[in-house]
Amino acid sequence: MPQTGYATSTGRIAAPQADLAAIINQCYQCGKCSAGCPVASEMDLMPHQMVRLAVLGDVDRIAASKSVWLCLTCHTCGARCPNGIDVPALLDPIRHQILRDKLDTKGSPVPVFHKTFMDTIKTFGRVYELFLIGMYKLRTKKYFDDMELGMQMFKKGKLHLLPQKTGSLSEVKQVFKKSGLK
Amino acid sequence: MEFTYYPGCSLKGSAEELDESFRSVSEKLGVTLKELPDWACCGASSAHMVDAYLETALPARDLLTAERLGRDVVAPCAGCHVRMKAASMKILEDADLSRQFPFKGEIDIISGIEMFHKQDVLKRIKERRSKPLDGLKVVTYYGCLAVRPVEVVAPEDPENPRQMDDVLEALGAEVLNWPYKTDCCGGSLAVTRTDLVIKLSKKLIDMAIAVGADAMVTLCPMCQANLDTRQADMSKLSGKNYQMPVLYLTELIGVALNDSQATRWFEKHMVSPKNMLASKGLI
Ligand code: SF4
Ligand code: SF4
Repeated sequence: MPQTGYATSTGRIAAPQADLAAIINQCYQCGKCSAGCPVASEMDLMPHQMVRLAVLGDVDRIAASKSVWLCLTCHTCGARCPNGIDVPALLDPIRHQILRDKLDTKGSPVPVFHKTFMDTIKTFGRVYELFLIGMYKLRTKKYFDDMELGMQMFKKGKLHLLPQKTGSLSEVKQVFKKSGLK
Repeated sequence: MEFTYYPGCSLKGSAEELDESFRSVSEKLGVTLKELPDWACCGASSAHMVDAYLETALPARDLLTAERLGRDVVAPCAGCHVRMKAASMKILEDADLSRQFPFKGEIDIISGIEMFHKQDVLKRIKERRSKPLDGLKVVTYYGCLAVRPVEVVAPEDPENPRQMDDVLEALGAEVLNWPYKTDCCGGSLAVTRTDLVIKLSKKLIDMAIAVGADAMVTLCPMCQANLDTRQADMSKLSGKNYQMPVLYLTELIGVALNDSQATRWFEKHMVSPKNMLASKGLI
């Protein structure tokens, strides 16, 4: 992507690919995405600002934001944007690269959770909630969060002691081998 | 009517009452469900966050099995439905992926809501309801994934969907007007940012209370879990006593069809709907 006078990017994070760039470059900064975003008030960069930065070629600033891990992937922005711009479609490749290149995630628990979730799938082929939550707590050292809720759910039979099995685990492992996730 | 059934992980874990009620009322409505053999997780809210290949490849295996079996797939969980359908679209668009996963797009992947909204099924619901939900006031909560991403779900109206409303009206319930049918409850941050989830979910429940709903109705296991399990936290934070039942659409279909299993499903709820339903003479 040609650099503009505004760009401060060091180019560590790849610019959006051509097909995505062709869509996001239509943004005219109406702000509708940010107006409807349920977590805009918590964000350090609001959705319309992230789109603008991507258009200007400063993807590094998006990658260094808190917002990149706050976005809920609720697609409200995408449903409402007059130009069909879906912010998660912009953020997903950025998140992939941050994880692939082991860049700073600013202590956010969100990527830890998603990686733990995928480790669970790689191990069992299906979600095993006790393993997922246990591993997540170990990795984030948040041992006591939601203890009470966990006990209640256990009593209600919502959490199972044993994992469920899938007969296709070896195929699932193959899929993981081919992926970029190590 | 026959479908391949993709239950997904939630329905085998914390949302067993959705699995049980979905199967039970389907049978009562003459819809045969055959579980997809050896299904694996669709990748849920995580695969797309971490890797583009996994996002499509995980559901792809199951899509291929389903296509071999030849029946359309029904995925009751709104999240599974989006992941499966998005993967099927990606494969058909991308030459490289379709070489690896020769899915031809000869089968349809439909959501639970779509299944109960089929004309034949709606007709049977009206014919077979033996206990109309008279006097029950509900709000429908679709959440995100029953309507978005719009290019995947292709809803008739992403801001004001009506399919669950139609089913509930066919059951005899009164569906109230409210503004948060498709507002996000914070699902994907359920474990990592409970503070935000409680804030977003509380906003929804407060509005349901304000418009006078007896219960909220959804078909998304993530939404149901957030709204149902977080009310104790909301009570603690606000000093009020939150007791809003959050029901699956299929549970209310079961009540109207006089399904004897129904009270068992309600045992799994953190906020029990039993007293409320009993006070209306429905159970
Ligand atoms: S809604 Fe679309 S056009 Fe408007 S600011 Fe957001 S991305 Fe740009
Ligand atoms: S998808 Fe992300 S950026 Fe878009 S509205 Fe939802 S939380 Fe905000």
